[in-house]
Parts: sequence; C-alpha cells; structure tokens
Amino acid sequence: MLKYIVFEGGTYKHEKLIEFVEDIGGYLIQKNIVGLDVIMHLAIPEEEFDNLNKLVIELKGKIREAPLIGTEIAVVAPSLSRHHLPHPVCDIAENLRRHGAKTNIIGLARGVGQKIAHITKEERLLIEEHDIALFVLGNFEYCISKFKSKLFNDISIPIVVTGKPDKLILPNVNGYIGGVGRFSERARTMDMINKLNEISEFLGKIAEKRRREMDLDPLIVEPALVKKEIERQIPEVNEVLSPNPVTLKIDGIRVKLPYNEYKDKIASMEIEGKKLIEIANINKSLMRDYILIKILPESFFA
Amino acid sequence: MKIIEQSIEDLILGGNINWIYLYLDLEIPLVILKINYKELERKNLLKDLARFEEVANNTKIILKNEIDVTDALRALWSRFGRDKVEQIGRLEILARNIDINEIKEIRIREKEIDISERIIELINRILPEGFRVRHTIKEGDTLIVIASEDPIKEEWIRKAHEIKVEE
Repeated sequence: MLKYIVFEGGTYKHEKLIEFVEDIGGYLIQKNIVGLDVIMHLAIPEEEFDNLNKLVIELKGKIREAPLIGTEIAVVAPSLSRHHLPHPVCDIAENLRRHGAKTNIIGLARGVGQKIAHITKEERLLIEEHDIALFVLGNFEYCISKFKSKLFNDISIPIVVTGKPDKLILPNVNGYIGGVGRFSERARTMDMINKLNEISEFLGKIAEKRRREMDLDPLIVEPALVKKEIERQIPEVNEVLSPNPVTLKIDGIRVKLPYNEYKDKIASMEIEGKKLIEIANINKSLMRDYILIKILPESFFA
Repeated sequence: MKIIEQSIEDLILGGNINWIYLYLDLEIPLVILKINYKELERKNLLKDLARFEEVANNTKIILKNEIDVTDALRALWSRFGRDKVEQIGRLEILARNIDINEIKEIRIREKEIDISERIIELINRILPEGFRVRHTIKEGDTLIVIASEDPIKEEWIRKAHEIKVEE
C-alpha cells in the first residue's frame, strides 16, 4: 500500500528526493515552489518510509503523513446562502486542503428546513462522484436528528456529519463531529482551529481505512500512475486553468477536459501494456463535462 | 446569541438597535423575532453628524454614530487627501491644517442610509433558512417577524403581540 506524505523544505537538492521517490516506485503528486521553499505531496511504498525519512533529515526538511492526499472530498452545505458560507463551510474546506485533500463545495438546492429538506437524484449522484462526503449542518439537535438524515440516507460513499450538538447518533453515517455548527466569523481561535484539524484527521482515518480495505483486492493499476501517464500522453491537460486538472481519487481520476472531445484519446491510452478502457470505466462527470475514470480491481480480471 | 451579535456588528447596526427578543420553538416549528430600533436621522452634512474640537491647527471630528464613519472618511479623503485626514479612534477623525468651517460643510453621502434594508438583512441572517413562511408586523419602533414552515396561525400572531420586553 502507498503512504501519502507532505514534504516541506528548501528547494536546494529537492530533486534528489524526487529521484529517490521515483527509484522506490513512488509518485510525486503535486509540487509547489514558494520562494525558496518547496512543498511536495508524495506517495511512497509504506516499507520505504524510514529510508525516505533519513534522506529528508539529510536535506533538513520536514515530512508529515497526510492520508487525505489523493482524495476528493465533497463538502456539502444545505444551501449556498450566507448561513453556511463563507463560515463554516469554506473554513472546513480550507483546512481539508491544508491536509492534502482536493475539496469541492456543494450547496443543495433545497437542503434547508425541517419537512421541506430534501436531496435530488442529480445531487446525490454528484456527491457520489467523490471519495468522502462531509455534511456541514447547523445548531439544532432536534432538526439534525429528526429531519436531516434523509439528506444522506441513500448515498453510497462514506458520510461524515458536523453540527453544534456535542454528541449525536445518526443512522447510516461513518461519524459525527460535534461542536462546529453555525458560526459567522472566521475560525481563527485555537479552539476552532483544533476543531477543524479534528475534522480533517477524522476524514484522514476514513480515507486510510478505505485504502486498507481496498488493499485486500487492489486496483489493477495505481491511480497515481494513471495520473502521471495522462499528464505525459495528453499534454493539453497541462494547459487547463482549473485547479488540479488531473485530480487523484482513491479509486480513480477526474480529468478536467471535455468528455466528448477527449474520451477516445484517454480510452486508447496505453498503461503497462494495456489500453485504459480495458482496465477502467470511463464516464462523463456531472460536474461540468469532465471525465471520470474509475479503475477496476484485480478481482475483475481473475 | 453569538450569531446575532456578530450579524449586528457586521451590518454596523450597534448604535441603532435598542433590543432584540427571539422566541424559538423548533417542534412547532415557530420563530418570533422582535427588533426594537431607532430610525436614522436623515442628515448628510458633517456639521449635523459630529461635534468638533480644535487643537492648535488641527480639528478633531467626533462622529455621533459609527454608521457614518466610513462615508465621512471617504468624503474627507477624496476632498483633502490621505495626508491631512487620519482616523484616530473608533468614532474620531483628525483633520490637519484644514479650515473647520470647510469641514463642517462636507456632504458625506448623496443618498440617505436606508436603515430598514439593513434591518431586513439582519432578520434574514438570524432566522433559520427553512422558515420561509413569514408574517411581519410594525408596532411603533418595533418590528415583529413570525416565521415558520407552515402557514402562520392567528394564535402565533397573538402570542407575538403578548410578548412584553422590559426596556
């Protein structure tokens, strides 16, 4: 299994680290150079962690584990109104990105209220394109426990809910984090930042658990390898202005290119001697007309 | 409570609201919001909105209401430049080497501020979003909003009138 890591250090000799990662069969997922500092998201085989650590100490850099790297998370608000945005929804999404995740904020058309709250089929399918969905709900225990569960009952991906009540038992969710709720100013106090970190760490544990489960029946190729090949074989993707034009997901990739124009080119790409269409499902995303690639597990070919 | 305080602060309504009363029963569901506020005096000239203190060649402008500070600063800066005008406190502005009579005649905005627009925005920020059926009553300086997901009942209106707030 791959381990996902954030490296922070100087630009001096950082190529040595990239070379090492490639030599051990790992992947460079993202690289940002800010002045003289470099921040890199890396995926390395678990057993090589100690060797990488030795090299990082030599380069006087820092590494930390970030299981949210390579995940796409839907941060779902009951609506896109002032009640939810920019606080707390954007604060939570920003903290998730600091932990390595790629986030998309989704505001439901009619997720507000008690009896009137509902989710449409299209919204549900859009949320299911992600790896994990985080529902950011409000302050009232009565409303959340009695009326809001219909928003996430039929969603097939892991669900985490946040709200104001400290403890709440909700059906069909993977976890509930209390003490958040609605607030109208930026989360800048230590208490609030710790709460945001708690959410990110919890989601990180869910991502890790999902990867461990998938390790029992691994994917035929690593999504990180498909990402690398798309960037190499389809150079147009490097000119896309959207953030993360090739977004890594736990079991696939989202490519931010028009589906009709590029689907054949992507389907006929060769990866480890096979065409991509033979080892993955390629569909049109509900988000704009992006391309969604879901890589098939090894058991599919047994 | 924190949301109400923060919203009043964001909308610069601190000086205009006397009191707010919120009744909330989620099981009905019903929200009654009573806001008692004072209307703004419709004045735009600086001499009507502030008092002045002269210190040597400088003039200290002390505004009566926080709502006028941004407009006053904008008007003074555009007329005399940033070098001569400085905000020195929450309600205080210092003007250096400018004739006090010239300052007093400054018109800080062309239109009057419509406080009711801000009060409506405050109500929208406080009330839960799903409570879209609303009934509004104006009773002197008090605005009463009854909100629910169901049609508003007569007994709720009666209840809203019965709620007395000690000033």
